[in-house]
Amino acid sequence: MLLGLALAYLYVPSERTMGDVQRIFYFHVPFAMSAFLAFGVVLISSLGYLSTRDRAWDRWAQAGAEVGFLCCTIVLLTGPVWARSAWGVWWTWDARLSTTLLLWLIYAAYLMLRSYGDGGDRTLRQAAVLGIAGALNVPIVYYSVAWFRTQHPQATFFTREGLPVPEMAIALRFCLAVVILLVVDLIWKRVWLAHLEERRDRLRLELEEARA
Amino acid sequence: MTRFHYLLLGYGLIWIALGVYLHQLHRRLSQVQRDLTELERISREESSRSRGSRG
Repeated sequence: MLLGLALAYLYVPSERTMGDVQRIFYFHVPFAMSAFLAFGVVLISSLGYLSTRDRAWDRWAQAGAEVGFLCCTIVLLTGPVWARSAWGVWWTWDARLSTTLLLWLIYAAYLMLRSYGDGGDRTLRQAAVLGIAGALNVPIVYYSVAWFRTQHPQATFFTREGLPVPEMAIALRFCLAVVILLVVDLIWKRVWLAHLEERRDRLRLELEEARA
Repeated sequence: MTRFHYLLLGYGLIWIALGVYLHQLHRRLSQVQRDLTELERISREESSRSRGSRG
């Protein structure tokens, strides 16, 4: 992360019109892509849970949703800072911004459902359906800049034209790889935590049954 | 605020969000590991006690 920060600040030349604030891009975009990746994990795991009712799938869905929510929060924090400097406003009800906020709200609801639900099969099924609905919003967020007239710039990195300066592409690729690795590690740790929590609850129950 | 200040604010928010999440995750991991160690100790003690009372 620190090397990515150094690359974004020291290696890449300053953008002509936006200046230094454009360097937020090297973390804003990777966190957005990683959020999509994490929500992809939620989609696959939720489908897996609904078809097999195996709790291992549910652990992956929960981990993906939590980490994806974190990435989406970072995107929604850094975006307005960049927008304030580039557009003069913190927020505008632009299609990309609004659909991203909707995605964040869906996963906020998902995490609340998991926290306040009883943890039974019904709650897990409802969470899986909500997780799938949230993940289905990802293509809408991604293509919103193409489908609607927006203030948000087009995703030039993944088009044939690419980025205007090669150093920008190198720094972005590096930061993307670093953030994806971080997100994979976080999902893995969160799955491990859920596994340990289940083991603890089982052991607690066994002890209570043995005492009764 | 200059553009550089906005950049610092943006990067600061990333580190704060990541830091808070990592701190929470590690706190929960160490808590559940402590609980597991304690429960396994109790379980071992209780099973050896029940074996002793039977013997």
